[in-house]
Amino acid sequence: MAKDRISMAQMVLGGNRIVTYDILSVRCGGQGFERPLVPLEAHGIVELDNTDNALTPCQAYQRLLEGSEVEICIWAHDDVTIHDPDWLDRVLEPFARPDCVTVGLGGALSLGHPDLYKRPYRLQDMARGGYRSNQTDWQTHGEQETGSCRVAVCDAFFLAVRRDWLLKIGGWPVKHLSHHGLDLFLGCEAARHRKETWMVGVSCTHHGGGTSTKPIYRDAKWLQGGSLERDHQAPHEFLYSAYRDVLPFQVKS
Amino acid sequence: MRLDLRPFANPIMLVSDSPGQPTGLARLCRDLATLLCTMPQFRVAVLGRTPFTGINKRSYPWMSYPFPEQGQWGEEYILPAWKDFAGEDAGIIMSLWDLSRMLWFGQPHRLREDLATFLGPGRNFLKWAYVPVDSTGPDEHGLPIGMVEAAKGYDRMLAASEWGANVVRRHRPCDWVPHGLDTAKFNIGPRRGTLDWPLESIIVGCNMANQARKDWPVAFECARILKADFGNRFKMWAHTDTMTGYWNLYALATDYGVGDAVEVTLDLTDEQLAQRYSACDVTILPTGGEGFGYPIAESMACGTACVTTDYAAGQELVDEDCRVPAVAFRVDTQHDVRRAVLSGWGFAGRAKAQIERKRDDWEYRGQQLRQRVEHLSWPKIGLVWRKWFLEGIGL
Repeated sequence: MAKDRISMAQMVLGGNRIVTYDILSVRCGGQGFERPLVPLEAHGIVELDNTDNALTPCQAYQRLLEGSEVEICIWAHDDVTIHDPDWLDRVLEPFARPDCVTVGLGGALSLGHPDLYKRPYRLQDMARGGYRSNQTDWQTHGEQETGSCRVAVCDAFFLAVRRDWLLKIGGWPVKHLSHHGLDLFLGCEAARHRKETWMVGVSCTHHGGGTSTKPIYRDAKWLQGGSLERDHQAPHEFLYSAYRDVLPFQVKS
Repeated sequence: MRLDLRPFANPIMLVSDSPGQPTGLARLCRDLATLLCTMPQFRVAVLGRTPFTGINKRSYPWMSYPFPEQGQWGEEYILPAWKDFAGEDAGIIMSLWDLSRMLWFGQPHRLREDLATFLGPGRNFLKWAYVPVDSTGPDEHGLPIGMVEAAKGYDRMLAASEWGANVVRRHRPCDWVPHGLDTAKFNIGPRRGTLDWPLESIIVGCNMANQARKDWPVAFECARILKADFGNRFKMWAHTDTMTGYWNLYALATDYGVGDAVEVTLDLTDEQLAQRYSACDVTILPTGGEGFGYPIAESMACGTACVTTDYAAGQELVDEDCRVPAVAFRVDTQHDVRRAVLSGWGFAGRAKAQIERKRDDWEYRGQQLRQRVEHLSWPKIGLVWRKWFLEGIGL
């Protein structure tokens, strides 16, 4: 945990409600989370240095969660750049809805093929559907959304999560997931508890192709199944088995 | 059609083969009625067709309305059964039969007046169907005309396979959910177990009812070809409901020269079936078309590949190398259904390849095949069924 961490920042929501938040980031080789400075952003980013890959990203997220005392925890990858100056207001706004538990900058309307459990398991049946964002390269990923909307799952590159809810469901699934699937886990848990997941179309760039393609990731001792391929497959198999009661699911656009 | 259903104890009556019968649909009816009984949103009855209505030794946790086969498909019994079961409550009547049997239910206007009124537009129940579509009509893509009319009379329809749903979708919306399987009973057993089948024997199994749609001549033709290849090592295990039904199996086996190599069983428990499936090198199901294909799923759950017709729902369960293309198609029965015409040579070729594959690594191959049908186990597929039922009442 960064030594210079100072309590929490606050911002006004809806004119009369105060919401507290932390911006949390795990350093693992990227340029760092970049965003326009927000006047109310009092303390900067709470960073955890994991460049030696000693912790799984999931363990690192959990450690940041345990060190936080705010209402909203915002996890951002260290290879994300935000361009909109009002990004923080927009990210926190959906939390005015009591059932909203997760907000992202990119999200998909569905998770899992409708026939997911009717036929033998196959990885591609766990795919997201109807992805939308206002990423600078949104065409590469799906549709453009500049407003905000409910989604089934957010993308992991930016996740704002209601902290007390995340604690209530047991925190991050450190026993089952290491890297991939944390975003899908949140979507599944939200569906199970009949909560809402939102995306806001804040202009941003997820540079991607960074750490996860470098030798440090390939050689990480925590890779599930010991290979990059299995590390991608295993989380999906876990989610497939653990969330039969809610998968597949979708929200209307 | 919309009805105001309640969050609890909605009456649902299944119309099907009586749950005690030794048929695939009876088993399905029993499984679904059992599942529904665990859901507080429903109270359950079964209007079940049975060969006789004598003493019913079984008791079930649902209301049973057995009716004799002479009562056709239930048209003479459905009204009093529903009135007795549901009274004036709104609910659901769900048929678990082929659509060829349900024209009276879907299009009741030709029935006598009280029945036509009961089943007509002013009814206080939804009409749901679970259809094991085992063939198309003559046009190769959609249902035959009689079934189209029946299908259009339903409020909600579910097919037993994706293939079947795609056929029905030519005419109306349709979802699909496969049958479930008791994978605790149908599990991989010892290679021979207590069976007195020698280890060196090549055992080919075939579990089919004795009816026109099941191509027993092709099964025995396949056996003849394999016997020529494997000699006295070759054995066939045939399981059926009666020796003389549509086919005379004694005569057929003898005519194909395999009478001495065939062991026939008639009444076996699921555990006994599982033991035999597990001991087989391969099973075959030469059929004109399946609505689902229980013997395929059972065989695979026991670690044995099933070679079957590349047509209708059965082929969905197996990999490419277990599918035998039809040599032709013919239109059959008074319902104009399109059936596959098969060759024993096609089955023998595929079966031989599967025999070699299993003998290469008996255990690994068995696990591989079982994994292919794990999703059908009731604790898993039951969740999909449960969701489908709840969606139907708006939950």
